[in-house]
This record gives sequence, C-alpha cells and structure tokens, in this order.
Amino acid sequence: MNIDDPKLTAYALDELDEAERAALAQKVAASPEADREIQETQAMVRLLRKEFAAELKEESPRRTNLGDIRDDPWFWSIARPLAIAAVIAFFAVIGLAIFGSYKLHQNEIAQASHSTPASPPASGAVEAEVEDGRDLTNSYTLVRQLINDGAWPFKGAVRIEEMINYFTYDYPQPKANEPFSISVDIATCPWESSHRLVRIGLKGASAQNLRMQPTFNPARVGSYHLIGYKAVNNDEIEVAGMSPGQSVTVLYEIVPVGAKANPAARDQVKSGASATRPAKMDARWTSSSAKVLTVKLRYKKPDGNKSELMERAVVDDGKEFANASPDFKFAAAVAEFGMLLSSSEFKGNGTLDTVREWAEEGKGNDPNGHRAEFLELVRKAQTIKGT
Amino acid sequence: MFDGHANTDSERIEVLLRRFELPLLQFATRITGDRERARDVVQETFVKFQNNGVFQNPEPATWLFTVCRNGALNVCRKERRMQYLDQEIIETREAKQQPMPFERLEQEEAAGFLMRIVATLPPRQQEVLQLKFQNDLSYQQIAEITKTTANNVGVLIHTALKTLRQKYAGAAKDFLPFTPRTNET
Repeated sequence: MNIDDPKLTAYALDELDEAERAALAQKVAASPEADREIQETQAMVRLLRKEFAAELKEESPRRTNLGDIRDDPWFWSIARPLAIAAVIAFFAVIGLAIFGSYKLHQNEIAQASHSTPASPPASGAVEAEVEDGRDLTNSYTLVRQLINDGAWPFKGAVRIEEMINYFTYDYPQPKANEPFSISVDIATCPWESSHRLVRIGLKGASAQNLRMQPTFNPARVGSYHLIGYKAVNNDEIEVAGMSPGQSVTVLYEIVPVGAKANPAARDQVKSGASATRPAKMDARWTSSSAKVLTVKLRYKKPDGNKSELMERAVVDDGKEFANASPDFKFAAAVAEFGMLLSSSEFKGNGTLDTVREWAEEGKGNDPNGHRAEFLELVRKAQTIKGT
Repeated sequence: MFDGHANTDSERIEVLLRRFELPLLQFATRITGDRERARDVVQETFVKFQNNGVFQNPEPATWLFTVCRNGALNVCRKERRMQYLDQEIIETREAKQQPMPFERLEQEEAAGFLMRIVATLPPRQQEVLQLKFQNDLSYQQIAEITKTTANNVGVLIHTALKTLRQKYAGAAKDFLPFTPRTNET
C-alpha cells in the first residue's frame, strides 16, 4: 500500500469515519511498513503536542477584566529592557559553552582525517563534557530525551555504537610500553544463540589516534557483522583523539561456519552490501588454527611519522552468555536495545524484556547510576510501546 | 469543551476567557509575529464574542479561532507588515530561513528545538498544526476556521508531519559524531 498517503496520517490521528477506518485498518494490518509509518507519525505527534502545550505554559493566564486586557505601559517600559537583557545573557552563556564543545569536536574531526597526533585534551567545562567518551551530543542522550518525552525514537536518532560507548566498561590499563590495551571476549550471542558475540575493548594510555581492524578466520567464521556503524565500506574503525584512560567498545556478531545466518545477513553477504561480510582467506590463517580472529591496531606515536602495529589473536573458548562478564552482558543489552529501537534486521530474538534481563545481570556496581537509569529507560520504552 | 458549572453569562465568559486566552494569543502571535498586536486581536475577539451573544454556543472554539484569525489577518493587511492576507498569499509566503548548522546545534541543546523546525514550515502548515495539536480541533473544525476543506487540512497536516519527521531525524543525524568513527571512504 502507499504509505505516503494523507489518509494514513488521518488514520494515525483517528480522523477517519468508522467505515474508512475499518477499511484502512485491514490494509494496515497487512503492511508492517504502514504500521511503522503510523508509529512514527504518532511519536512525532506526541512530541508536537508536548511542545505546543509547553508554549501555553510559558505565560500563565492573566487575571484581567474584559475591558482591561492591556498591560500597564509603565511596567513594561521597565520590565521589557530587563527581560531582553536577561535573555541575551542567557543565550550568550549557552552559546559560549556549546561553541566550545563544537570547536573541540571539529578539532577531533580534523585530526581524524589527517591522522595527525592529537593534542592534549582541552580544559575546563569542555573537557567534562567529553569525559569518559560521554558527550552531550551522544545518540544515547537524545534517545533518552525522546523516551522520557514519551516518544519512540526515530531511526535517525539511534546510533548503536554511540549508545554502547555512552557507558564505561572496566578494561585493564595498557602495559608500560604499549599505548593501548586490547581486551577481547567472546560468548554466545544472546539474541541468536547459534551465533557468537565478540566484544573488543580498547583503552588508551595517552591521547592518540588509532585504526582498528579485526580479521576473522574463515575456517571458523562464516560471516560477521559490525554492530552499529552505518555506511561502513571497510571494517576499519577509526578512533580520533583518544584521551588518556578513555576506552572504546566495539561489538561484532559472528556466524560460525555451519551455523545459519539470519536471512537479512545472508542477503547482504550475497549482494556484497554493507554490514555483513564473509570471512576471507588470508595467509595468516591455516585450516587448523584455533584462533577465531586477530585484532590489528595501527597507530602513530606522537613523535613518530611511521605507523606502528599491534596485534592480538583470540581463541573462542565457547563461553555461554550466562557466564559472560557483567560488562559484556550490559554492552549486549544496550546493543540489542538500539537494534529494537531502530527495528534493525539484526535484532534476532531479543525483546525489551530480555534487554532488561541482560542489563540487570550486567548492572554490576554501577558507581554513577547510569546503568540503573538505562534499566528505567527500557521500562519507559516498554510503556510507550504498550500504548 | 470546557469545565466548570458557569450559569450566568459573565461567569461563562470568564471561563471561556481562561480557557481560550492563551491558545488564541499563541495562535494570533504566530500569524502576526507580534505579541502585543496579538493581545489586541484576542481582546477584540472576546469583545465581539460578548457583543454578539454567541457565548450561548456550546462549541465556541471554532467561532473564537475564526474571529481571531480574521482579526490577526486584518492587522497584517492594515499594517502591510507582511503578506499574510489570504489563502494564496499565505501559501506562498516564504517560510523562515533554515537555521545554520551552528545555530541549529545551539537550538538543539535548548529545550524545544522541534518548535524551531515548525517555524521553518510554510505558514499554512503551521496554523493547521497549531489548531490540531495545540487546540485539539478536528479536521472539520480546522477547515471551517481556515476556510478550506477537511481534505485539504488532511493534506497540509500530512505534509507538515512528513517534513517535520525528516528534518527532526536529519537534525539528529547532524549531531556531531562521537568517536570512534568508521573510515567512510
């Protein structure tokens, strides 16, 4: 059915008469696309209603007589300039803070594209904003705002890699002579039990740019895909301006040789399209190798111009998800939440209920309360979905 | 339409004033672009309402918004402040310029950036959105107020919502990227 139809919008707003409504309801039931369209329209309408309602709250109704609605001109001759000055001051402060962070990001982007060494992190408020990889423009904060506003986030709002990296995970400090620590753990993929989930965690010792690329052993891995990251043309993850102690978490879902890929993933392998890729033969792999993947890190030392290489090969010891670390479980929960929010074709068998279950198991000490807040957010998402 | 058990005319008007003053003020402000002129328009609307004895009308919303809209358009016409005069002109009136990326970032940080996107829509779309989602009026009521058909109201709302969703998602996409970034060749 045509989803770009004013009738469908009228249906979403309950503006159709009974006969039209019933006729359209049947068509909608048969079209997941139309259903999605209606959900998104209703989410936007909830936001709009909220914002329009806020306009009416800005100014409480004046208690006046019909004959005297005008304001006292003397009052306004004094109050207006004061109010204007206050507004200007307010925006100046906000603008300054935001412009600062904007510039910092611009720096990071410039550094990323030129692969020049990162400068030390900026100081003050700006630094606080990007501390631990959390910044105010992170997709997670947007998703959180939308859900708290009672709206189901739009696809464009959900960036799974940013959601995962909003949270901090416990990775070891780099060894004395190494710029990064590489942590890899593998366990059963909780939303598709025949698949394996790989978590790669990198932690930096100093401000650095790096490129990370895993290669998978085709004797063990049929295909794999990187979770999150749209429009990826190669597997390389580029991290710009990593500050000391900052960490980055990347998840891959791998389909072991002999296991079934989900249909969407199979199609992607066939067509050679983006996210899913077959593991390729490579000189390093022998058919008897027990290794599942090798993580390659390339970086430049601040004082050098030669690219350095770090490698870490990993064996899959067949760990079950139930025995995985709390951090692993929590990262998986956030990834699945993002996939459910964005109706990703890779979401597998997970539900908001299982997301809560995994996040609860992965909650750990939660020193800053972010994980408890995440659990609350999933509960709110369930309420929105139920309405 | 409104609550309370007002029995006398003056009580009834008092209730209506309380119920509709701010919605009408917001509506007239969007048309005139000026809060003070909008206040005058709303006051005139209530005076007419009282003089014409239409307060017995059980559904005063349509009447109030229609009179308020006419009053606001008259103000624009008299002052030649803009071309917010009639149908065609309303439709062709240029929407405000899209904010620049820097401004957009600033606005997103402030609460209510959706309304900034609303302000970039054509005025015709803005007014039906406001009548629908601020005042909960039906397509039919909105059609009467804006002198068009319910069908056309449906098209305007559909188009407006579609644009809003695109721009809103676009704004989300434009949020500056968090590292790690992938190498997009």
